[in-house]
Amino acid sequence: MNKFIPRLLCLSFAFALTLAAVQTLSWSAEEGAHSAAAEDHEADAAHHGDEHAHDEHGHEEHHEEHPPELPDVFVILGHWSPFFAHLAHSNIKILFYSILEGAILAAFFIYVGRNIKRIPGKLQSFVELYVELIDGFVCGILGREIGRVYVPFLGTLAIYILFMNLCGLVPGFMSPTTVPQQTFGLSIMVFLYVQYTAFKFQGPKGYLFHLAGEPQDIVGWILSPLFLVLHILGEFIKPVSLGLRLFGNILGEHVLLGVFSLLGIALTQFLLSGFGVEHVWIGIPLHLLLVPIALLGSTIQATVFVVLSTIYIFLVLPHHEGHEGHAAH
Amino acid sequence: MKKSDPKKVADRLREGILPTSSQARQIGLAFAIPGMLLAGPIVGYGLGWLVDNYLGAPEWVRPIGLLLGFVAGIRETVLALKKLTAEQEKKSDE
Repeated sequence: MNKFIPRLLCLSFAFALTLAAVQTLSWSAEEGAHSAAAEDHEADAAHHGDEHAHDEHGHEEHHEEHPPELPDVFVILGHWSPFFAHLAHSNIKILFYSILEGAILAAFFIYVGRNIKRIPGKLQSFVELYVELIDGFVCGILGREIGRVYVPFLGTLAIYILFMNLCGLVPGFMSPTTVPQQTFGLSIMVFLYVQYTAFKFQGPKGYLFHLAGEPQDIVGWILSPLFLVLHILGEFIKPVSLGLRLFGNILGEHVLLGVFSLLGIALTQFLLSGFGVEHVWIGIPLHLLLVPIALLGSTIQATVFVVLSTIYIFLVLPHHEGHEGHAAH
Repeated sequence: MKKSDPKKVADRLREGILPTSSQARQIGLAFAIPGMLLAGPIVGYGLGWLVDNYLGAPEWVRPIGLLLGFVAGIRETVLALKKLTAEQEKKSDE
């Protein structure tokens, strides 16, 4: 135990430094290819006239409108191959990374599941710890009887979102959660499951009665159409808030990493320009300072997504008709 | 795991098979509140925009949608706060 923590700290620092250096290198490669492409466009403008160059410049400006993020494999290869250039700005790339990261997770859990031992090894212990954590958390909110039904879904959601968030820190990978298609896809899935739960436990009539505000008297019945509209709107608010929160936070983290990485390259270029160095292929890894924040933020956002999904399931369950029932309506 | 009949579980829920207060539940309810307040007007305006663009409704439908979304967000927040208060009262009763 005495040697474990210093070793872990040294390993973590070495890993973070390597990660930062490789990320800076990959960004520099993209910048280098970018400036080469810009020089080609200028040469084209001189040969073919202003109109054609203006169109290409407009096209390049459209690509530059993307917020600066650390480049992935598709973006880097895209500067040498038109095929990858097309894929780099398409939804296929997002789908590719989502499936790849899901497949890596699935392979890991299948491997651990097939090698279960009575005395667990490190991987099995890690998985058991995670399963117990999720089970305790979900059952703490929904109760043991109902919570156990939702533990597989919510546990998978949590580890998948966390893994996707963290993959953006790995050189060459991207976080699919930096695009709204992915985060809203996940939140719509949660929304559909919540609505299915509501129909399962309350029945269609019971759920409609609940949406109309559970009117008990004539005033309640008169106001029920308004409550119906408000409650339906309220149900749609939940997936929008889930998707928007995850997308905004993870995109913000990665844009910050990209901007600091660019700053490091610009700073290196500025410092070395005095020595006559025109082009820099590796920069100071300033974004290393933000990696711990990104790790923390990614974990928090995955946790918040799953906490809220569990709460939304809890909110559609029939509740005890005590003071809580009257207070709620 | 043996599957329970959803109707029987629903009846037991109404009787109160979740007797103990849960700190995780309280934290989760508290987490839900800011998102509802933010997303309410966005969803309301979005629905108003959809009705305006695709059903040819007059333009004032959008601010009406925004207002309804705002009201729905506040209503969901109030419901969550009431459940949170009920949880805290349950905890003080235990």
